[in-house]
Amino acid sequence: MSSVAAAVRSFYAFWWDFIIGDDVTLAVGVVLGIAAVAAIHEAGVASWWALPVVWVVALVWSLRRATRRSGA
Amino acid sequence: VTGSVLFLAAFFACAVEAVEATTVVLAVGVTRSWRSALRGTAVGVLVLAAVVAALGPAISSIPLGPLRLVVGGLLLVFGLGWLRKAILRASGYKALHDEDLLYRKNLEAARSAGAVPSRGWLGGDSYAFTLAFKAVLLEGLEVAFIVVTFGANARNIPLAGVAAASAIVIIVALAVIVKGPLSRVPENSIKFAVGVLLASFGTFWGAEGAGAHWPGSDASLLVIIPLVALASCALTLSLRSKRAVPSGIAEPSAAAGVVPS
Repeated sequence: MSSVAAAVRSFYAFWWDFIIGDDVTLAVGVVLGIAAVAAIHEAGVASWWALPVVWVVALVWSLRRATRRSGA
Repeated sequence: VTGSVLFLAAFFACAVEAVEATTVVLAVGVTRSWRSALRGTAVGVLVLAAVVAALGPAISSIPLGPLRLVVGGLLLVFGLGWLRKAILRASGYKALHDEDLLYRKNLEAARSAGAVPSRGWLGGDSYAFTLAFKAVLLEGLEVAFIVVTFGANARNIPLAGVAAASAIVIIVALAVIVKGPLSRVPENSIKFAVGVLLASFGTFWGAEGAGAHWPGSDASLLVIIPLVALASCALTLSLRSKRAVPSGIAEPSAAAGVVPS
């Protein structure tokens, strides 16, 4: 049973590392950006700008966290 | 435009990862067994080709709307990840990839591993086989995904496959000529450029998949790509200046030669 759990854990860890990578902020930003585009589009307003705006904020946030961690 | 960008993105993404995998294969080939290292490489490439061959038709059969939403989102996540790493390296917050150092580390590790029980079909040395296989598979898996997803969205997986295969052939040929790690390949600049392309197309397709209509349709990519590049350069310069203020002097080894152009 424990070997199955370990296999599931390593499978999950592989895909997490593969897709999410070093920082979850970017993936969260992309999901939020796409959701924002869909919501704004549903409201009948031009929505193309929402995704780039959200991911730029996510990238800046992620870089700030990384640079703070490095202690500079 | 999409065809040539697709080719360039797949080619350069594959070239960068091929350089990294080649460093490991060279190290185990030199110290352990060329036959096992080359067999591990060949099996790794075959597994990657099987992934592309299996995923390609499956992904291509998805209708364009949902395909662009999911795949655009994935490309954007990959692209931003590559950009983040490239920006941190170019601004000196993260060490640059040093193929010479990695080569020496792999040489030492392979030498100190000692004798490993092996099976005949592995070519005599299972350590060399496994290390080469893992390097090729792990470095190549992300590229395989980029090739499949980018190619499927552009409705041209074969072109992406040809680009990736060309990159592998060129990098392997260069490694054979140089007979050592390809430390002069400007990996960070290439990663930066590929990150810009992936993030741009991911933004375009992801937003379209969610229902947005870009002004000018496909022509908007001619604005998105330069804007993403400019924003990334601005972030790099901003982090560089921030780093230079508290420490006084930026690390020349980390910053030299990596200004994305």
